[in-house]
Amino acid sequence: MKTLKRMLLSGSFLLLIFPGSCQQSKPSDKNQGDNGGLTLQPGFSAVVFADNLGSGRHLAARDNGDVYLALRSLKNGKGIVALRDKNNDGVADSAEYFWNTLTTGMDIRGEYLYFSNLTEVYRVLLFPGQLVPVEDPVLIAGGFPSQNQHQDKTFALDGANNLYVNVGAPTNSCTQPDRTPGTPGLDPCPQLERHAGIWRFKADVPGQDQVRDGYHYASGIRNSIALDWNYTNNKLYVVQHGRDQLSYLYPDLYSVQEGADLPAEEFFIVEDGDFFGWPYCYYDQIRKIKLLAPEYGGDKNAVGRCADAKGPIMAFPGHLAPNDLLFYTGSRFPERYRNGAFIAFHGSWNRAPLEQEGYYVAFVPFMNGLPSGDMEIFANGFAGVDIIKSPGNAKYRPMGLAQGPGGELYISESNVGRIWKIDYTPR
Amino acid sequence: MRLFFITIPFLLFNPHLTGRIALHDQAASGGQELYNKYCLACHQTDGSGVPGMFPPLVKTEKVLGPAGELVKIILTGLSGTIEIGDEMYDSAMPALDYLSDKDISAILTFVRNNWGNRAKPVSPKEVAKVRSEIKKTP
Repeated sequence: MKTLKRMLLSGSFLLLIFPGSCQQSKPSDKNQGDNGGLTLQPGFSAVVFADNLGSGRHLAARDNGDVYLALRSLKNGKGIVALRDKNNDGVADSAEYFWNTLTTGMDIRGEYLYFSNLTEVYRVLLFPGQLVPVEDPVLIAGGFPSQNQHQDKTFALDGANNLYVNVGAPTNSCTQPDRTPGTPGLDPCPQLERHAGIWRFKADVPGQDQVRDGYHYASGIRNSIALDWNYTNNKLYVVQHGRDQLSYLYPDLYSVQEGADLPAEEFFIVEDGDFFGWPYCYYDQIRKIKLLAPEYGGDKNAVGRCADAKGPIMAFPGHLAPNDLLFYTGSRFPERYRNGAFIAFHGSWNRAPLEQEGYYVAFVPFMNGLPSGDMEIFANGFAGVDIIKSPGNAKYRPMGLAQGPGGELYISESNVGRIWKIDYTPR
Repeated sequence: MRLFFITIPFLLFNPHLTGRIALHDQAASGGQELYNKYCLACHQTDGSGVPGMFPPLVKTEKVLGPAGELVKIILTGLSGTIEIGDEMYDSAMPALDYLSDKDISAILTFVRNNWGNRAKPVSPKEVAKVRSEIKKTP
């Protein structure tokens, strides 16, 4: 009770100090000496740029420092929040909500804000100086099938006016019914026709439809919420969510430990016509081999048709849930970060009953378009607890990544909608 | 007979009922093993579910409410978006109709009396009744 009283008192005290700071995006403590609760590599620091925005997904930063965050559930009836730091103190002091559907993907190219929901990608012109678009957004690509899982139509844009859209698989491993023990995989998997791949569109042509206008760029990718264009070699890179529940569905074949560790989350270079193996194959990162899935006759050793599936350039432990990928092109961070990959791992659920893993932002150094070192944890502490038994234990779950105009890194999270801004100060 | 009707509300609101509830837990001890095998992968060790994907089983009306509805979910599965509190959940749940009436009763009794949940146990007979009703309506 005393604590409660103290909390109430300190709360009202803060209100007295910042009488004008009633925007809900305003972090309550401006000093923020604690990196907003994060643990970072030496030399890096974080501030809470904005907080309690809603169920955050991907985000994008504009030349002038404005930040746009996608919201997976409507907040105040709106699906995008636009943020601005009007007084230049490093944190947002203005939050404007707009657009009337939930959103998932978010990016900015030139003067246009691109965003997606579960079945469509839109773009809208951003007028100079204006935080909220005044024009109506224009549908660029749509007609994607609605589905009950892996729905996020996240996307990447290249330098040649192309839009690449992720269409996730509607099931775990193409069985009917889904996720039911003893059910064989459909063969061939009919879901590969409209799902589990990347579709390419023109980035500036309105009204394109997946079937009519979309180019089926790559296939056999279960779900790649995390995707980005790499300008050093002009190639698309994605990080795939590997299949779930090997042990739950095949307890005689996989131990609980194996079900928690396998299969890998795979990092792919995606080129025209590639096939990566879903649903027939999965990647065993311990033995470094693509194996036949048990739904298709796999026995933990058989390779079969998976010999023809394209492999990963790097494999991460199972179920970490890579939810965004960003190639860093700035010069604010030390040289070794240039052109390297940041990956936001949303954190696992599919390791239960063992402890969950992930819930951090990792960095992978790159050279000549390939990883040049091991994955390292760049930002940690999102969960706020040491042991995560279930996702509900985690206070924050890293979700989206964006690079600011000065080379700073923004990280969004999905539980309450906090955004951190990461900076580097040379020693 | 009249005494019987008076006794039931008394039992329901009697704070000394813990012994009786402990008995439920015991009856559902097989329920925990079955829960671990068939439910835990998605609904998690503590019944808290996965935000955005699999709904929590803790203190929600769907779990604590009329048993018939809950039995129906287990027998037929669930797909589409459901809303609990402010959170939406949209992953599909497979039908677990291959489990016996006794196993489903044990799982549901366990789920309804753990992690702070307190609700009436579900009998195999109730499961059988819902199962036959589902069969009748195609």
